Amino acid sequence: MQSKIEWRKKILPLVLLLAAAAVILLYGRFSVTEEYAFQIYRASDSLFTDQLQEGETIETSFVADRDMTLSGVLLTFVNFGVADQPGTVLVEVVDRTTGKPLGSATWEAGSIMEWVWQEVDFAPAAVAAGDEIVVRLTANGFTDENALSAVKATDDDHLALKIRTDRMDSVQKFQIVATVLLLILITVVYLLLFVWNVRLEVVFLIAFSCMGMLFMLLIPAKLGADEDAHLNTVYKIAEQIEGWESSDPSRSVILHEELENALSVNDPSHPYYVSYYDYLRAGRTDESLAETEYWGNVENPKLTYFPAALGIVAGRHLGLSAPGIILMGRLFSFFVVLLLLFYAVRRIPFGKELIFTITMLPTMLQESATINADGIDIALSFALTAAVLSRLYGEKDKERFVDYTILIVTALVLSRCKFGALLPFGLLPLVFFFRFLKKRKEGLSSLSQRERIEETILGIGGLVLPLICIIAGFLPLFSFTVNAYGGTIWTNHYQISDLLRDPAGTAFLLGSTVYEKLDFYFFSLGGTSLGWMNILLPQFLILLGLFFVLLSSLPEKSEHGRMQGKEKAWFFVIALLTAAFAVGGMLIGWTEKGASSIEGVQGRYFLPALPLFLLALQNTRISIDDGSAVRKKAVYAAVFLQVLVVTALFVRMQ
Amino acid sequence: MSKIKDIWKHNWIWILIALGLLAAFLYGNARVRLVTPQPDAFLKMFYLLSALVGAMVVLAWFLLVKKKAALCRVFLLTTTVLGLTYTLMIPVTAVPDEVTHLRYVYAVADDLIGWGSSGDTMETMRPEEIERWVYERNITHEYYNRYFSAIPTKELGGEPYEIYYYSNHEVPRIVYLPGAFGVHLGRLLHLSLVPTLLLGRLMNLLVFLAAGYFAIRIMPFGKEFLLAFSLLPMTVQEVNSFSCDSIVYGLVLLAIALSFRFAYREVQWKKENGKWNLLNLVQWGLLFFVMAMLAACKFGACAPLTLMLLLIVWQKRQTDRKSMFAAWGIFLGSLLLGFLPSLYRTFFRSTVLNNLLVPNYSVGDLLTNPYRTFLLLMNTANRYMDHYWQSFVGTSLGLYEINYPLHLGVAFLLILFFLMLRQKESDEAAIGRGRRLLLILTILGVLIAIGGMILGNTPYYSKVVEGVQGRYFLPFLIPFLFAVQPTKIFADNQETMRRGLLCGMLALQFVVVMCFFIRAY
Repeated sequence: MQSKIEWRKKILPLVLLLAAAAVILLYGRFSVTEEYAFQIYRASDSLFTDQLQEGETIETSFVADRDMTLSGVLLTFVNFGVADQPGTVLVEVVDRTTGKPLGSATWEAGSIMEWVWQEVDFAPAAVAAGDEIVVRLTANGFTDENALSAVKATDDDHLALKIRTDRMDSVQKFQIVATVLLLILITVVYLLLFVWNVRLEVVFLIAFSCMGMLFMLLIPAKLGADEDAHLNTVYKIAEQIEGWESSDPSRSVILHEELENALSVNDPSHPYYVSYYDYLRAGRTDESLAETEYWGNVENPKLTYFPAALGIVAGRHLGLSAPGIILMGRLFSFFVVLLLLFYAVRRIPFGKELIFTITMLPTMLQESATINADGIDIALSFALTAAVLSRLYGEKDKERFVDYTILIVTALVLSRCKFGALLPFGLLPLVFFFRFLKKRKEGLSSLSQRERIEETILGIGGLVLPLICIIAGFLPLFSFTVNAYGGTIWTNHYQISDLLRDPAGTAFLLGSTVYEKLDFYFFSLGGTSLGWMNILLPQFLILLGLFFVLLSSLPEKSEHGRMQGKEKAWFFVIALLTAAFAVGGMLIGWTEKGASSIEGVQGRYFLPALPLFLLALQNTRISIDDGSAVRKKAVYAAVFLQVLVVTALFVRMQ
Repeated sequence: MSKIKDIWKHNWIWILIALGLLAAFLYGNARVRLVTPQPDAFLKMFYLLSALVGAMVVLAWFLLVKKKAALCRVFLLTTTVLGLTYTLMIPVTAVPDEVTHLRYVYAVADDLIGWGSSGDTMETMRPEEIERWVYERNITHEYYNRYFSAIPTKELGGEPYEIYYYSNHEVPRIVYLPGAFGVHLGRLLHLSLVPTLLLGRLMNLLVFLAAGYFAIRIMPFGKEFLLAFSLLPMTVQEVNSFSCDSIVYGLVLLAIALSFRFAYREVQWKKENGKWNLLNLVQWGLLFFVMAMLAACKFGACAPLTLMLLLIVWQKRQTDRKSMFAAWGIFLGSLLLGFLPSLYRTFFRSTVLNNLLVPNYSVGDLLTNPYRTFLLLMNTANRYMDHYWQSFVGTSLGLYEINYPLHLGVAFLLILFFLMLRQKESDEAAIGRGRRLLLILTILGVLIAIGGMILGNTPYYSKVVEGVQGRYFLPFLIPFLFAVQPTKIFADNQETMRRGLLCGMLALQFVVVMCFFIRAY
């Protein structure tokens, strides 16, 4: 009986959660289906340029962009001043190409209201791509003289077609797949977390893989933040793997012409997604190669782009279409991010849930699922954080070799990443040196010989590794950034001497940045503006996501004191330095003199330091009872939030 | 040196906040000086209000943290200073719907002064009371200069004349009495329009001050929630306006404090000498008045707050049957006298139309097409939730033109979250099952606010619910905070932490005031 009650306690919430998720996902489904019945032609496509006058006819037309089944036309009016008129308006819809009348209606003038869709329904009729459809309005019985200028069509007027959707398009099909996947995901994660109590890294592996794949498809190719720029570097590496030789290796790169020319869009709408998914499924149609400009981006070491380049090569040899090739690049890159994050969640001695919830933020999912230096950089910084914490506070005899390897490799790579902005992570190992000094002061005699040797090596290594990071990694990059890169973007960019010469001006610039840009940093940290700032998500989703991150960082009372004060302070300093380097780097390398605030910084630049920052903030004043259970709930909430995020992404496609 | 170290060790957080505020002032000063190279009324007001609010923050910190002063006294200080600041910085008529409410205030003021008008649909005004520039929406540096310069002026003179007026069903006329009294006073003193209106606003503020002071004083626990409520920018804006919210918010605080007091503290019906405790009876009477008013206000949108009376019923069912029956009586009485007439007016006599003057959704529309209703609600959540949280905290004040950065709004929300944390053994644990009731009344309040706007302001063809603003949910903030208090996250030293958080809210208010000036370029 007792076990039955326990079981019911565990399963009932799942049923309720599934019901809630189903409602939200159904909303997305209904929304897409209903809205897609209207394809809206805006004023630029069709505009009533004349005013409607008594006894006269005005008309507008549009050309069908594809084969469709039309079952009606909808119109809205602004400033339509005939509401008091006794007359009527005759509306006729005709296919001018075939001469076939499609339908007509007569509206009482007095019944026409502003901003209300006025419908003309007719029997479904096939319209071929290229056919010109005409909509005519004729005024009858307008008695008032004012009625002569009754229709004041403005740029805001809309004309919409009611298109019968005979079959589901690719977006609708994908939405069904996404719905099923999400329902399975939230069920499986619930069972793993609360019923079977599986280890968190396993749950992470499943959740992050699923969401990463979904984001790969939800953010169209080349639309990840700066993806185009990073792809350019990836193409260069792919070219070298293929053994192709461009005419000027330092200035040009060879790629399939299709990759360069296709897939550029400013505002990804529903029709764009339909054509994108259709394109994705098609095989390659054009084998021709082209040479294009190579920008020589040195933001990250080439090593970090190598997985994506391998994916691109694989995609080419599999004969995929342009988006398919880019998707393969994304997939390979994502796999590396996944492995690094898996290591981080597995090895970090505490804060596993924190890493998990951060990875569920839409920004993090986008960066990991697209070809972008940030995805790898964030994963590297999380792995380094985990390795350092593991060696400091974790089980020391376990996976020693893996920890040290990760620690050294990630510190060296990170010091060269993002024009050196992640160098502070290269300084993180100094914490071992500080600890060594402290232990030496206290006396190493209490340790076994093996422990003594390890502490000494760690201590010295903790000093040498940051030095190598600075000398070999950061300094050359820093000099390049300041002297060359900035100069190539802005001829009149800030220099360090400018900032030092005018401290008041520098302070004003920083103040303006806080006043004008902090909102953007905060919300783009979570992901309100995905893609090229053109795939927008509601802010409240990001607020919820960040709230779950905060919850997952809270410690239990018994967990206080596991991090020593000075070590915590060092983590805090590293987090602040990372933020300062990101902002300072953009100030020197990207902001033109005279700009009102620092340009180019985005919230995602602060993501690498987020775990360190939140762990360093842990204190004795706030604690949770049954910490692991509360944090697990925060993790689950972060996964469940994806239902809302994905729904919002589909709804915004309309 | 060790002394400095000691001071830093115990006060580092306050020192950092003080430095932050200094930086905010210096930046504000630099921005304001950019638009006012020569001293003008705007610049003088900047220095005056910076000094006033800065001094208030320091004094309030001293009272809260160092002196551990009673919160009701701190409330008097903070609300007075912030009230005066907001009254000056958010010009009359800039608050949402303030012009409409002002018309009702004039109507009541007409009655007070004895100006007869030729029927219910007309009211009498002085010529300057329809001055157009005051009602401008473009609140810039130039506007402020003109506005501030108009404060110390006398009336222009001229014969009053009648203009069209339409009667309001939203709240009982008594709600407009304080504002009308202020306007009446201004007319008697022959003040010009701006100072007359400021007087009207100040009267509303005085009523809120009195209600808030009394409420915080008698609240048995969670006094900090009441003070925090009064420190939200949206609250400060509303209580310093002619909007009916100014009085409604005072009533809300009283309703909560009295209900909690009767529910969670012993009620002394009789004194030790056997005589009836008059003070107690007055408090019960006040509770009845407050609940009946709330039930009648805003088309019944605040009526769910009367459910708090059931807290008394539940808590006193075994120990104090007098209180239990009194609470039942007040509950039924306030529904009968306040809510039902309001409901009747809303459903059977209301002539409310939306701005487009087209029919709204009807209950029938919603019931007969549940699919469409479902889409309507979900579309609203998707599109307007951001607007709700922003207009709840008040990142867009005025009619959305007086803004401060969203991250300050997020900071206010974060402070509210940490404010909810309690010690394990605190008094607030006593609420127990009452939390469910508080949650239900909050949900009801939200649903009624949205439902009311579907029927009253959403054209039947709209795909989203129109007209809802976050401030409609503010009356339910305090019950909500009690309802969702975490049961697994605790603060170590609740009182000290909460007082510190309140200081944080005050510091944020200082930054908000800087932003008012910065945005008026």
